[in-house]
Amino acid sequence: MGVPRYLGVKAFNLMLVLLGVLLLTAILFGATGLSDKILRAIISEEVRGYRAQLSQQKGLTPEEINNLVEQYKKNLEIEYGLDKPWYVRLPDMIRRIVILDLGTSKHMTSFTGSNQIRDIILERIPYTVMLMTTAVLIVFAIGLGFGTWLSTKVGSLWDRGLSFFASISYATPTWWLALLLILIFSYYLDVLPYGGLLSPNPPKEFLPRLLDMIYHAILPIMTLVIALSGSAIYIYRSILVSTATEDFVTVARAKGLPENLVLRRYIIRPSLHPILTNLVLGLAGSLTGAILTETVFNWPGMGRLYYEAILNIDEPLILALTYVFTLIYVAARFILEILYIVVDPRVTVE
Amino acid sequence: MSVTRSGWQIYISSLVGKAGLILLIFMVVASIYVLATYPLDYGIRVWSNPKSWADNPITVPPTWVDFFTGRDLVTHHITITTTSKGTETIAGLKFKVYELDYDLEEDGFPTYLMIKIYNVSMYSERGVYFVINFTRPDGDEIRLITFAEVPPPNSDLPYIAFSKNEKIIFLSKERSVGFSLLTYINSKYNLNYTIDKLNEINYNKVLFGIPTEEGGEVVWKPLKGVYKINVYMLGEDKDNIAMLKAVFGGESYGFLGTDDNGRDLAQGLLFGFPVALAIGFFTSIVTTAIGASLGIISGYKGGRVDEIIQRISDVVYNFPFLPIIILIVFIISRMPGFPRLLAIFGAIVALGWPGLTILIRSMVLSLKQSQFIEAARAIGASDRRIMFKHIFPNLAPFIFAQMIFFTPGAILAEAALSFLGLGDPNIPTWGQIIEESFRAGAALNGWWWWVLPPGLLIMLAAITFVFIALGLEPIVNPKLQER
Amino acid sequence: MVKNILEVRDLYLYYKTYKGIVQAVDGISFNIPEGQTLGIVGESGCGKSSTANTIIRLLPKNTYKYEGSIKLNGEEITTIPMDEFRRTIRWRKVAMVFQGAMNSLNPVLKVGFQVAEPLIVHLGMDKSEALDRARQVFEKIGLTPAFLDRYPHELSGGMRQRIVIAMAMIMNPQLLILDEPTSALDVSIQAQIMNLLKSLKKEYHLSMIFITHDIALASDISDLLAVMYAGEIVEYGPIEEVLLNPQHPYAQKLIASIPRLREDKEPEFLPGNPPGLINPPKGCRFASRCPYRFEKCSEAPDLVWINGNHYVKCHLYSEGK
Repeated sequence: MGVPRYLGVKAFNLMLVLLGVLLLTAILFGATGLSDKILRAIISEEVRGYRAQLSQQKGLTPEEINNLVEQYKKNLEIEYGLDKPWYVRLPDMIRRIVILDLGTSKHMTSFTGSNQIRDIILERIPYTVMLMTTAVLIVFAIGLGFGTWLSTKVGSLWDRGLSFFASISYATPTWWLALLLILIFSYYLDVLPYGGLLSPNPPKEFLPRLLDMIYHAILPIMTLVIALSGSAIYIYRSILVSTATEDFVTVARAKGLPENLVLRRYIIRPSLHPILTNLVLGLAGSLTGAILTETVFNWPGMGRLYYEAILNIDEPLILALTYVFTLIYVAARFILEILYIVVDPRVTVE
Repeated sequence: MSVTRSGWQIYISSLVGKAGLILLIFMVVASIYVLATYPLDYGIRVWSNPKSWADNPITVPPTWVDFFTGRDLVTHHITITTTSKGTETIAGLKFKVYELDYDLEEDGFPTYLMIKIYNVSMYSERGVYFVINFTRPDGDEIRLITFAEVPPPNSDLPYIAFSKNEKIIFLSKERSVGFSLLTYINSKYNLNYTIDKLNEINYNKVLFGIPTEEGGEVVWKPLKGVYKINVYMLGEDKDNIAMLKAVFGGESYGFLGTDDNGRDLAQGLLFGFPVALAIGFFTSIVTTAIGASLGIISGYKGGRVDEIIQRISDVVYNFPFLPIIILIVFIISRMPGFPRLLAIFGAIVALGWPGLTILIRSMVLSLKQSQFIEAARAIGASDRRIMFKHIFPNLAPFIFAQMIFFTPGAILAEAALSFLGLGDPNIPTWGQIIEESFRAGAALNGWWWWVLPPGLLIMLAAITFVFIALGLEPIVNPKLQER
Repeated sequence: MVKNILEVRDLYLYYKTYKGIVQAVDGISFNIPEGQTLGIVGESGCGKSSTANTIIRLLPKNTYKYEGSIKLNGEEITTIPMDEFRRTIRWRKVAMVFQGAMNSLNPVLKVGFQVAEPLIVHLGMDKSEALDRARQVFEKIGLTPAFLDRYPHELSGGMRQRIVIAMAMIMNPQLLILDEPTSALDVSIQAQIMNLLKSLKKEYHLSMIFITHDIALASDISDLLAVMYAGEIVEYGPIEEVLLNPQHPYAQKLIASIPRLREDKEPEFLPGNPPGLINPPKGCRFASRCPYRFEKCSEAPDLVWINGNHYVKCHLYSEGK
């Protein structure tokens, strides 16, 4: 299979994922009647306003008012598509979302006051990236570093200790660890803020403002690093150990290559495929999975936005965010496929 | 089969395997205890019912913190009486007397004092008149409060007061008690406190303490000994109080303290055991059943069926897990009357199966090539028979291990969803309890007993199955066995 | 008298596992004269590969006992510090073709680079120069130079095995160890590889150790033959001597098990299993399967001289039997 065909097949599969997510979201909203309910609520709100406005005007009989209101309501129902069933209305919404015409939010606004979903999301992305990407990269460095070190010590006390630590780390809910660290560092030691992006009266200049933000990011990042490192070390160690037992590593040693070259060229290099999988999917997953951490620390990123959108039943925003999350994930998968081709000559075969 | 025997030996010889099994037995025992002793509708009837917890102190730590604080914390105490001690004539009026005792043994102040009066029956339209006196260990008797209760006009006698809602008097907050105390301390200890000053130091310290001087400042120290609350009731001879209750607020409560509703956390957390086990078991069983059967069908049947199953599982497998599961649970649980835990269960199953399907499919593909399947097919066994009698038994140990391995994930997912407020507030799961502690700002207020134990229990439940899975690994994965 | 390229005396390699100490190589001695090939045969798990690994000092992590003398070209190499051993002995003087050659090549590196790599590392050659040398070796071995730019997965098993041999030959080693070099290959390709090895041996006057479980294959290329059983060499001698006149009961059985084409004789087979290398029996290790067993076999036998360069480890031939 050639490279273009290979990438084409992968891209097609990932497009299916994207469509699947949107379809599922639309069906969830439509089939449960939630979508209709939301629209009706909005229309009745607007109708009430219109009626109040009409009753202010003089020279209208109650009957005329009723007629006008009825007409207005009908128009609104057509405008919102409530005259059609959800399975007719929602595909159009999906079509618009796919071309990134995300529309307007029903309840939420951006910090600058815009209710354009695009504005709201774009504003939040940097904060999530700042928090989650930093954390994932630190976890990656720790995981690969210690994982490499431990892969040379298979069966040692350190190694056995790690698998125990990794089990505990896997069993620890990150959001609970966050609360624990807030209890320790914000309540008992009182050295770090418990949440938020900035102090109550944040400095205006760029650098002090950035430092304030970093100060607020320490605890969430620390939480993620502690929570994720155990599993990361374990995973990278296992990847490297399984490569280290390959015959070609023994051959490399027999060839008289120095140990660090063996490690670099014969153990890490052939392991890049699974290592990159972990890193890239970790990065993508962290952006979509920031919901819990951002909620605990009141961090105004995309995860918290999603949580708020759900609490406010902001249908267009939920649909748009679900799409963006999936898009990020799918894009990461595709980048990964390209990276595979670069690091692993075996990929396009099969 | 001898495989099971030696499998068991391998399992039990591993440290993690043993640890996992012991933890599991512990969890099962705790769950059985709960199922045997708690009412089935415990959540609605007890946990979410404020009345069950009205007498409890709010957000106090467990009693055993005494060991660490170095001071005996005042334990929560409730005195109840249903019978009158007798009658007493004061200024020519005959009072029925009820007495409530309390022995303050610890070096501290009860955090509050509350009295509750239940079902007072009156045989005259004039009603009854109450006087509540407070006797301290030093012999001083303070009149705290007096009040009257009159039956409504045209009501049939005997009229029962405080039957639906008991009369609650917060003696350590009541303003008229403050004035009584002010008179008492100013005359006895020659203090010239104002009511504002008294409000500042809280009535409970004055009720249960004596002033001492320390560096020119007046400091209230607790006064140990027996306190008596005397409730005098003036009325007809037949007039009667069914029950009197005095609550002396503790500085600590129970084995795991209380939350901001005064709920006994130990009780709620104990209830979490069967819930966590049930969610873990059922989600993993159903998920594994679906995932494995689809994998077997897909791998064995091949062709169009395989194509469809593979596509769907690939698509679902690549869903961003957390956002989608939140969305599903949120929308489903908005359908009126739909049990939220069932929504969580359904969502985990809906997103959890594809991983196993993909794995099992590839295993079936290689099994399909083996001779015994060829042989079964040659003698004309039906597809169903081959899948159930030949393929499934071969994969069963692996599927079982996968099921165990899925369980902690399910427990953690449930906890996370409950933490986001998507759980059922009427069923105290551990995640639910942490959610409430988060909303109440427990971590910011240092209420560690409301933050730590539920999280530790989630970890315990998850780690139980992680350990069991680790113990099973060398049996299921023969490659590891050789090492 | 021909100079010995390799002299091994009382070599031991024990390693620890959670089940006990594995006595993989238990006091073996042998010589290889320059330009000659020693075949080492024995059942799997008898310590053949461990012997090879010990010579190139690829010891397991859990090594418990590593003792004895290995003289390469008269120089004692067991006492050389590890780093110097790596720089001066491995691949420069002793190269090796490993068992399971399918996996001997790094899947993400081009084979040309893998072949040329020792030149870059040991001699500090630049890459293009090293690749030029690799090209020459490729041609000598019958490989198209275009293969230099291929990845291992793009080549067939036979090709890969040739590349592994090219890799071993790149530094003109004094000793080439071949550990089951053909066991994973088809019979036809096996023959090609054997022919290649024979021509290399002749052309470069190469000294080799040829390890195999297939005694017929060993006889095809070897000048000397060592028969290993349970971590020990039980018989050692010139190939014709051992094949035509085997002394040790195990060697006799082993040779009798070779199917003959033109003889009206059923191949024999040897019942039972060799003892485990953890806690092997005290006396002769073959005793439990030996048809000639007698009382003395409960003591460990010594190596007995038969004639010329032919030795056997068996009480049947010790004095005062």
